[in-house]
Order: sequence, then structure tokens, then C-alpha cells
Amino acid sequence: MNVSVNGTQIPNVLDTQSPGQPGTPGTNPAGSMPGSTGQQSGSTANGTDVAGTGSSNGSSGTQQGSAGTQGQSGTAGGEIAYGTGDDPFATLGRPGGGGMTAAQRKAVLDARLEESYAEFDGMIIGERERAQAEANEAGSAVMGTGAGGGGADGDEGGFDLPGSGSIIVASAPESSTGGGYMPDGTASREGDFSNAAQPTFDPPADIPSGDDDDVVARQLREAAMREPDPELRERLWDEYRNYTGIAQ
Amino acid sequence: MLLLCAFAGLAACSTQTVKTTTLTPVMVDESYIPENQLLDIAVAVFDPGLDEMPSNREELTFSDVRLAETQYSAYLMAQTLQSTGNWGVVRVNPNDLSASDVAMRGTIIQSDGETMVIRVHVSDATGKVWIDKEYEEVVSKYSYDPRLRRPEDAFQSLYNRIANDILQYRVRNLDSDELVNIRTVARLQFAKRFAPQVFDEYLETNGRGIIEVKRLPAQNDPLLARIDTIRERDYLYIDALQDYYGNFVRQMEGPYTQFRRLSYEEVMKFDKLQAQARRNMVLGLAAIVGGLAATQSNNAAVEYAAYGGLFGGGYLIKDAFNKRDEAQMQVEALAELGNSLEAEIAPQTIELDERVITLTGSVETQYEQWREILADLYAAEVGEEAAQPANANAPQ
Repeated sequence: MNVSVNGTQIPNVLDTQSPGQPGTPGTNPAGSMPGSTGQQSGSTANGTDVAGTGSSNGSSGTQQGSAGTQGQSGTAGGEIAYGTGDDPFATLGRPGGGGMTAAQRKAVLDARLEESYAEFDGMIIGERERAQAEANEAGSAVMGTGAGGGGADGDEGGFDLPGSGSIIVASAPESSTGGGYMPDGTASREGDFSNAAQPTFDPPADIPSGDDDDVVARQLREAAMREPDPELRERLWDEYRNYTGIAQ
Repeated sequence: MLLLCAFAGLAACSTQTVKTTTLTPVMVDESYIPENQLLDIAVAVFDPGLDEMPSNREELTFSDVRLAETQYSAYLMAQTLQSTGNWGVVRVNPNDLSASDVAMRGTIIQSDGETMVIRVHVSDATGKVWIDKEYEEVVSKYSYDPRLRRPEDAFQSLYNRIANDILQYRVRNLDSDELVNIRTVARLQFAKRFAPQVFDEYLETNGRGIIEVKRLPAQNDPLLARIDTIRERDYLYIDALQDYYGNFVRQMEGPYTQFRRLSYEEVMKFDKLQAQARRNMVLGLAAIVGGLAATQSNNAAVEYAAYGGLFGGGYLIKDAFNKRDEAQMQVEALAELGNSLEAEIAPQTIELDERVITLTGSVETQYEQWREILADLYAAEVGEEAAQPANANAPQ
């Protein structure tokens, strides 16, 4: 990889045939960060310095370089194999060290960073295209990449929470997959059971009125008329018939 | 008299349940939220909760289905939150959530087509807990009735209630400064992952376990700017995962809804048979006990009724055992449904896991390289800064 800084060609120190000594990690000097001297001492965490600058777009889909770049994550042509301890810059970046100044080293590293961004973007884009193709094949669209999603449609009235702005109750918020919106209105429907009085079931045709039932017969009749299970209800009626002699 | 009491007990023991198909609407905050206060939410893949399910539901739970549900439900929860427009980016994230503005974790305690119980834990980047409670939803059979053409999930109300509670917490408890602070902490947490030697000292944890900003980097900090660029890539990676989850959910939706509709009926029958078996067992025992006592009476009518109670009680106990056997048949029918669904979705679940792991592995490898580059960059910048005073003092 050839890199130039301000028109000056940087020696291609990356074309090493033999790996150099493992690089030493950057030290953490006791002090402030570069470029921040005098700007952060005594500063309060009011959020104005840092907050808000980080974008939360989440999926801007920026594409560094070209998609599908041939750059490989591993070594190629003697490039630095980051992650393997191979760092020919071990002695560079320090005053008087090697043939490269710190600025030059930074430029090379930034270029390496940019190149890896392109590789990463290409990988992600490839994966997303593959997922989209599968989704299209399955007959549905891949989820969109917009942040924030959709808002709500309609307003069924509103109420305010203390210390808040206007909050409405949504009736049909949009869904990016089309499978999550709510039906219009709030139609309520009774479910399987209710709190109404327990239903009774009419006795079979052969069962008499029961006006002359004694205590036991009346209890059997009442149990049979309240029993929701048809099989058990029929057995209770059989018991009633046997007890009252109807079955004879 | 004893038989009368026994049958009276029958009415007292019966339970009644009210079910409704009313959908809890989701709340939307129409007030303007500046971009720097718009919180992102990361929803973790839910915990399957297989160790915490109610004991009476073990027979009705299938581990592979539950594992698929952890991703299915998490995705629907993220979709619900995203659809409100109350938040920034809402995504399912299977990784470390410490650098998220807001992190939501859930454990599925119960999910059987009729009832879903999820324990929800929501916290922000500072470590403050927003919500830590269980949510339960019981649906009626109409939730699965294809004639009603309900497009939403049967348990959409559950997700809506959770989303509403999260919104309410934010509105009631956090002002603008606190929202900005959460975003700042999250940003610095992410920065720590890539340059811990630099950003470790920017955050500290107080005595209450809350993470606070100790000091801020400069607005034009070049290292932080590079990390912000990396963070954009992290968003892209998470978006790619959403594609995987989205495809998985769409593939799973059909058979899973069918399974829940059929299993709902089986679960209802199972519960009903179990309840009947219990009731008849209690009733039968009461009748027998009462009958045995009454056989000692000198009253002929009472003695006659006592024998009726003994006979009826014995019959009810026998019927209770029959009901239990029938309930077991429902379990077997449910098992057949569950095994069928597992066979259908297991390959998709495995494929999803493999793709997530593969992509995450590639991303982590790249992240590791970036960490090393950033470390070298920082060293170069420090060396440059150290060289400047040295150059200034150099002899002319």
C-alpha cells in the first residue's frame, strides 16, 4: 500500500518480507488527551461538550470506498497483520524513532482505518443484500433501515402526564413490517366466559317436572341442570332416573 | 343435607374467567424531542425462562419453541417500540447492552397460546433501573379466529403495555439534562470498548451504582471522532442483525400462529379437564364422607340419602380419574403439535443462530483490529504532542 502525505511519498514500510517485532501498545500518559489541553479542566458534565454530536441515525448506510472492495482483512502483500502482533511501526511514532514522524504514522494508520471501514461496509452490505434477497424470495420486504419508525395515525383523545407534553393514545401506529398495527377503534368483545349467572340446562324429555321430588332427587336434578359438561350431566340424569325409578 | 352441601360446594368451587379481545392502545408522545435527547433502545433476546416456568406448565412447554419465542417476542417488542416514534433507534441486540442508551431485557415465564407472562427489566446507560416487573396477558380464542383478520400478534396488548410503561417512566422521571446525560454516558461507554486506556477515566460509578460522567473529552477530540465513526458501523451491523431477525419472524409467524391457535384449544381443554377432575374429586370425597357419617343415622330417609351420597361420591371420584386421563390425552395432543412446530422451525432457529454468530464473529474480529489501530493512533498523537514542547525548546 503506497501512501503519500502532502505530496511526499511515504516509504512503503509495509512491504516487509519478514514480520517485525511485536509493537508495543501506546502508553497512557497521566494527563489530558491531545487537543483537549486547557479545555476540559474544571468542566462540568453539562453535556454540551460531547452530547448530541453522536448521531443516532443508526442506519445511515454510509458507504466508505466502494462496496465489495477487494481489501482483505488478513495480510496481503506484506501489510500489517493487526491482531497478530506484527507491527513494523514498533519504534516509529516517537520522537527520533525510525524514519517516520508521528504525523506520518497517523496518516498511515488513518488510511488503514479508512480502508478497513470500506471492507467492513462491504461485508455488512453484502449480508444485508443476502438477507433482502431471502426476504424477497419469501415474498416479503426486508425491514426498512429508517430510524425512528412511524408515528401514530389518528388520535382517540389525549391526556397529559405530569411534567410532560401532549401524549395521545394511538389507535393505529404504523409498523415497518406491516404486521403490527392495531385495528381501528377499540371494539370490545366478550370472550369465552362471563360473570353472568351460571347457566342452566333443560332436562331431557323423559324427565318429569320434579314437583314431587324429595330432597335427594331435587339435589340430583339441580346438579344435572347446572352441569356444563354434557357427559357428566347425562350421568347425573341417569342417576336421577335410577333414584326416582323412571328407568325401571 | 350433606349431599346438598356437597353440591353447594360444587357451585362455590367453580371458577369463572373474564377474557377480552380489547387491545391496549400504545401511547405516542407528540411533543418534540431534540435529537440529542432521543434515546435509543436495545432489546436483548429474551431469556427462555425454562427454569422458572410454573410447575403446572412444564408439560405444556417445548424448549425449542420457547427458544424461538425468545427472538420472536424480542423482535415484536422492538417493533412495537419503534413504531411509536417515541425513541431513536430500537433494535434487537444479542450482545453487550452496556453502551445502549436504554436496555430492555425480558424473561419469558409462561407462553402457551392462552397466557403469556414476561418479566421485564429496563435500565439506562447510567445503570438506573426504569422497570422491573412481570407482565401477564390472557387472550381469548377470538385472538386466533381467522375470520376476524386481526393483523397484530395475539399478545400485542402485552407489548403495548410494556411500551407505554417505558414511555411513562421517561416522561415522568427524566428531564432534558438527564436525557442528554444518558446519551453521553452511553457514548463514552462505547468509547471505552475501543480505547479503554483513554476513556476509562471519563466515567465513574458512585456509591449507588449509578455511572456518572467524571469529565468530558473535548468536542473536537479526534479519537472520539474516530470512535463515533466506528459506532456508525456498529449501527449498521445491528441493522444487519435486524434483517436476520425479521426474516426469521416472518418465516416463523405462520406455523407459530397456527400452533398457538391449536394449542390454545388444547390448553383450554386441559385446564378445563384438570379443573373438573379436581372439582369432582373434592365433591366425591365430600359426598362419601358425608354419606358414611349419615349411614349411622336412625332416620330412614337420611340413611337412604346417605347411601345415595356414597354411590354418587364414588361415581364422582371415578369420573375425576377419567377426567385426569382425558387431560393427559390433551397433553399428548399438545405434544404432537409442539413436536411438529419444533421440527418446522428448528432449522430456521439454527440457521439464525449460526448467521448471527458468524456475522458477530467477523465484526468482533474487525473491532479488535480497530482497537489496535486506535491504540497506535493514540500513541502517535501522544508522541506528537510530546515532541512539540521538545521542538520548541530545540536550539536554533
